[in-house]
Amino acid sequence: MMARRASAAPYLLAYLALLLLAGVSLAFSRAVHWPHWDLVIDLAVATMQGGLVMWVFMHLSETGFQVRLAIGVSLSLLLTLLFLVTADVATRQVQPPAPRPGPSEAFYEH
Amino acid sequence: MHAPELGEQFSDLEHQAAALRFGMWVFVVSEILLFAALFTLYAAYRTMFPSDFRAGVLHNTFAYGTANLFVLLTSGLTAALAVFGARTDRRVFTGVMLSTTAGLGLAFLAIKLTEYGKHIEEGSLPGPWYHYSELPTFGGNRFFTMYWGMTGFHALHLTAGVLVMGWMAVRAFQGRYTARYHVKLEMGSLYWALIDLMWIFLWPILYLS
Repeated sequence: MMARRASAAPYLLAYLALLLLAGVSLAFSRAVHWPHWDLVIDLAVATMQGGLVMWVFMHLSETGFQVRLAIGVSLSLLLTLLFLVTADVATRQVQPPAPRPGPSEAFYEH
Repeated sequence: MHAPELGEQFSDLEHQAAALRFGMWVFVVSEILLFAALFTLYAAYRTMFPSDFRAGVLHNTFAYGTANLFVLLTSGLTAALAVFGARTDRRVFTGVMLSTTAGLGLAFLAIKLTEYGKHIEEGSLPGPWYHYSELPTFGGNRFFTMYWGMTGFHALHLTAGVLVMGWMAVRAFQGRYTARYHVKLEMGSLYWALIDLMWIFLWPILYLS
């Protein structure tokens, strides 16, 4: 177990960083329009915010190895799930029509 | 002051606190995976109906979603400060921080209910009840079904969180959380941060891009 936080300053700094990151996300969505990339940028910023919340507000910085391992494994499973499902749906194509049946055996008898 | 209860299966309070903390993290991780199913479904539908989802996002009232983000980020701070208050044996400060967190949770719900009222009025409802005339497409229906599912599920968690915070505020004023033992307060704060975390990801996909 690591040392416990004895000052309120890290919480306040994390809060300010969270507000700043929200502002960055907001500015990107309003000032810049990059189709297909807007959402990626916003989610990247959200991931940074999520990391801050977990590290400071959820006191992940004070937890032991086993907790970090459980979180790391579950987040990697989550990312795998998201990637595979999105890739599956994005790469689906309409199947070509089934081949027409060949001539019947009677055709070859003549 | 109340003496902390030691479970008979634990040798000391530190051992008990470590077990409770680990159990809470397992719960948090299972909740993250539960929300992950909804996020995955959203990603799949968004890939199938990109323009309808974009129209749905632009239609949503950005001000409501952003105000709620600010409310939840602030409540995340107050919940974390409550833990800091307990660690430094500040009983009143801890109680005030927990009460503020619960109050901010209620403010979030009030804003959310106002927004839901707007959606009900215009017919942007989930599934078979969808009759929003400005986006009469199947993709639009899917967007608002996901919107109601994800925000509704989040609001349910938040309602439970408000009750927990209110209950913990009373206990904090009674002096039940001390610098020596306050693991239950840490667990409540952890749960609240989870709610905060979910909205951080819901905000961009439902209100921004």
